[in-house]
Amino acid sequence: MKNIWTTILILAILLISGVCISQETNTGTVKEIEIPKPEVSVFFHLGDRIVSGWLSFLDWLGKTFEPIIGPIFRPINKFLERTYQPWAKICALGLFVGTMLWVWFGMKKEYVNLGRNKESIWTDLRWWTIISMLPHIIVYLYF
Amino acid sequence: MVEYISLHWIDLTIIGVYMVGCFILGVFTSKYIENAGDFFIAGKALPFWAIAFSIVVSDIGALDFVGVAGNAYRYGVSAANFDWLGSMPAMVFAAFIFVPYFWRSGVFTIPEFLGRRYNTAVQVINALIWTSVMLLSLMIMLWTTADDLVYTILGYKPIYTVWVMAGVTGLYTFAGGLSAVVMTDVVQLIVMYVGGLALLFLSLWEVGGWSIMRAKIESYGPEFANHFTILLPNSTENPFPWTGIVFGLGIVLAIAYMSGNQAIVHRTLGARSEWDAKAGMLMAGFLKSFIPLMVALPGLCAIVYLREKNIILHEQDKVIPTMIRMMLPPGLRGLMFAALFAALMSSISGTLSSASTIFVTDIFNKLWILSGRKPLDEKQGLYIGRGFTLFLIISSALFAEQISRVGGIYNFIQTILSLFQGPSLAILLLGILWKRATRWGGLAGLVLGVFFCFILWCVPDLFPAEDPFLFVSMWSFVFAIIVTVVVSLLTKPEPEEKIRGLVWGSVVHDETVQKALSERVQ
Repeated sequence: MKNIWTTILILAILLISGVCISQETNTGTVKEIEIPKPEVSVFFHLGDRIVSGWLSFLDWLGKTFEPIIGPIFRPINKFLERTYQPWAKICALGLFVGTMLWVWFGMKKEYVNLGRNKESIWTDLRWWTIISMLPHIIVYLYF
Repeated sequence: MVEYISLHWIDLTIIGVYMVGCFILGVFTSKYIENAGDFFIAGKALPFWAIAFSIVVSDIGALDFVGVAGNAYRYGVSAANFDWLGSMPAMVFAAFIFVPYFWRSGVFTIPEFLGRRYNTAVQVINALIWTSVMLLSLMIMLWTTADDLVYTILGYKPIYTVWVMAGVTGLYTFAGGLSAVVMTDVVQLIVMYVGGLALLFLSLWEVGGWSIMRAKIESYGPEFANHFTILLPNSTENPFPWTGIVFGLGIVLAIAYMSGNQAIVHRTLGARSEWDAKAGMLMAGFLKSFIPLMVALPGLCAIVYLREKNIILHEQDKVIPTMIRMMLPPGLRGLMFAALFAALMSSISGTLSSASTIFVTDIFNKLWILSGRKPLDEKQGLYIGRGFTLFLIISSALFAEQISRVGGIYNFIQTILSLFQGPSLAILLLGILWKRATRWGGLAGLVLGVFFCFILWCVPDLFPAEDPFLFVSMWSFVFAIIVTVVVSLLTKPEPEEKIRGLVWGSVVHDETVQKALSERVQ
């Protein structure tokens, strides 16, 4: 415990000193602006090369695979564009109601409540599921 | 001319008491930390309510207050889907499929589980991805709060706020590990709810209540026609069309996030019993139902409030800061700031704790063993965990500004997550439910799945959304499932003794696993 407090104290001092130093060196006046040193420039240059190489790779990736996956996904999107209500609401509510039904009927009561200290309605996680789901169902019915 | 607010002494006192209180509480728990198990999974002693509070407050950051309110201001209630459809079904699924499973297998992290089920490559890749995402999230969280909130309203230099937040949170996480994180989270949730609800009620009061606000927004023209439609059609020019929300978010992204995200699942691994782990997850889902009220509704109120004051905002992320600046009186402003700091600090500490657990368990320990040494003992694990916590928070604070210059903060994180959430969920799900999934299947599913994500991103106009992360996660999940199944069927099945206790059914009744678990708890 004592060691921790000492460590925390040292770290706090280091942290505050670090902030103060970083502030002192960052008060940018015109005089203080310098041309980056050669070694820093090399890093920036290298960084630029890596980034531009990566972007070219992504561009190549898009162009290469477009003819393959475009014809697969675009018809699916066209179909989905025509599908909206009531299917949107049915699917969303189905997700909530389906989950509730799965917990209540699809799983054994013993598995759902495994590990509880005492058996009562308050510790039955099937009821917890129903109660947690209800506000969401109301919201999706309202909007 | 930028108008800053100087905080009243009451506000400063509230914020000060809150910060010092959290710090003391967090550091106090360090007296119970003796080994790596205490530090990383709180000695498996957490009750369900603490787990629930901690999950909610870790999941909701200051980023959500800013980002979701901004999205609600621009797109309407569909922005709230992330906390409604994107949480509860996934949390029920996590509570009854994944959580008992992880808890019983006695692992510290999800990559550790994947490593046991598949192989070290899957474990290390997953761990590296998560650690990188967590580091990025930390930087963005820190800078968003410092720049978009504190600087916009108070005019304080963001760098000072970043270092104060990082210092306080980093130190108590460093000292107390998961126990400190969870204990402070409990306080932070209460502060966050009080502050958030205060902003909600005042916003509604100012615009004349829900019905008046709704009628006014709907009368503003076709631009606002969909602001009260939660499931938007596919042709919409925004990132939340209904197919993406239901299938991409509800079925893939949310389940992947709630079941495969170490920062969320971590607390349940520290539960004192399996029932507490499950109940904690369910209660968290219930508490999360109220989050959109605090984060999305003020964004809707802002449409009316700011229009009536003739204020036009060009940046949606400035909605909440502007509302606080213009609407809240002294005292409430301090409370709201405490709430925002609570949201930020809990997310930082949770991410720090989870990232250091992953680093030590899945990266450092593996490299340590590879170099011919014995696995880390409990004390070494504790020291390395603390060291990495410190490294992570200092590097986050140092680079927060540069990283956060990338625009569209909230969508940016979602985009990063969507790149590997789908493939990760696919191999996790198959690893648990399908005995036949092999190490090569898992590796191929993960690597090719992430590669497929890149392809989906790079092909232009493939999906009906400006930012197609919901669709990318959905289709990469399907693709990774197919790859894992095909490669698994083409490769040799895993030996029975390797997967015993790691596949659905066997873990629940496996005596060896249970014995190992009891020994770890003791």
